[in-house]
Amino acid sequence: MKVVLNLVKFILTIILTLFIIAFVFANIISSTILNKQFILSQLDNTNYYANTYTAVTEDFKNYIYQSGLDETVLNNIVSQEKVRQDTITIINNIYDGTNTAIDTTEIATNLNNNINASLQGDINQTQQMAIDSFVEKITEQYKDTMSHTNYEDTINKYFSKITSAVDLLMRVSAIGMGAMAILLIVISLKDILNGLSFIAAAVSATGLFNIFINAIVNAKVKIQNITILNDSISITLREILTNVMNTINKYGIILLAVGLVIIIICSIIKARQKIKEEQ
Amino acid sequence: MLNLTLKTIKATVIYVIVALIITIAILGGIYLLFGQEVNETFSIVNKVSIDLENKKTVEQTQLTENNTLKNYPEYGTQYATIEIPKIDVNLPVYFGDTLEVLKKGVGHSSGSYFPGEGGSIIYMGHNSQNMFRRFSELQVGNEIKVTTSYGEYNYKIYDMQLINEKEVDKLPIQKDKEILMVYTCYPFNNIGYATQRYVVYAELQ
Repeated sequence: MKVVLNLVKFILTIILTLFIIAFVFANIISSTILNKQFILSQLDNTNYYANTYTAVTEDFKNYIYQSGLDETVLNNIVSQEKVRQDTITIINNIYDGTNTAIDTTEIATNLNNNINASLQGDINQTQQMAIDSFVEKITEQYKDTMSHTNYEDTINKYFSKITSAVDLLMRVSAIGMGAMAILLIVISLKDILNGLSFIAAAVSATGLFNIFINAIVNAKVKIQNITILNDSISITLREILTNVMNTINKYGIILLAVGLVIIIICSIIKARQKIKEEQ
Repeated sequence: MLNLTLKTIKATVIYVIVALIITIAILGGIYLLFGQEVNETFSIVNKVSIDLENKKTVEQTQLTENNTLKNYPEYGTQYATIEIPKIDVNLPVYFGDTLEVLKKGVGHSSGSYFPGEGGSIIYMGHNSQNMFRRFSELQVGNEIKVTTSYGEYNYKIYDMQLINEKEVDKLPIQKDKEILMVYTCYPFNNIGYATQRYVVYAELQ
């Protein structure tokens, strides 16, 4: 009977561990990747706005070589503040579900003014059409560098679904955690310390799981070498992933420590009780 | 006291072992159920990881006996120079066709063959003053020399053509004859965005 009861407790502990793991991971995702403030702070930490401004102006220069225009026409057509504002607009679109388009009117106006000043108004109709096309290319390039349109569309499409799924996972796992913990206590009413120790074992197992996951991911993936789209995005992505992995590891160490402390306390109390009974 | 310590350790070890078994069981279960997906995810992430320490160098690129390259140059690196004596062009050639590459020199379309491989090679460059602005002066019979890290290749121009920018993707890629196609934006001294491309065709001597 005792063996069967312990086996049931062991199975319940496994299920409890799975619920704690799900809860911890949902919580980590919710407080990092799905948290607008976290992402904005990462953008600040990695100097994202300045790096993107550099990327934008470099991309503009790529067009100037074949345009027959002087490089100075690109001077001051976009500011770092504009890049910052547009980045925040894109983040709001993703996280708040808004649909604000990036306004490139100011860029187009500045560029047209610079070109007119450079050519001193001596432009025929064919040239004007080519200039219009050039201005359109530059503004499209700006939008693409800022939002990488295809990626933004894909992210927008799945973001609310992912957020809902993570919320649901957090609620279900919280209920599951509570239910399993209560069940373990109920079937251990004659030996509450044993029930508590099994719960603590589940907490420790979650801690160990997190530590192992962090170690495996770090062994398999070189996060610091990840390169996507441009430097500013790559640097920020590396920083976000590093922070997420550090958070997973941190949770792992805390849960392992908490679990072990509870196990040790329960073991000490139990040992004292046994010694008293023997005396 | 010793008795208490021993009993405590014994009870603690049991639950720690339980925790360890559960962790290994869950990790094992995940591996059994989703091992392939996990490995594929790692593989996708590693594809966008550039290992700077182990980056191949162009010196490792070699032409094998059956006219294929061993150790292709890293994308975005310079692997050759192009000389067109008639218009005083002597420029570096990079593997890749991004705007970033074209800012540095002549780009090599990644979908085309390499010099020496016996197929179509597509190069492109801006029509700026220090690049291909003087393409209009080229004539049939003029020479183009490409010097790579693994050999020197001389081509003779046999045709020139004006195409729409959207037709660039339709430039003939074939593997039966080594043809070098070099294109730039047209008109050469345009203002604004050029929608046409001037292509020079040259065959291996």
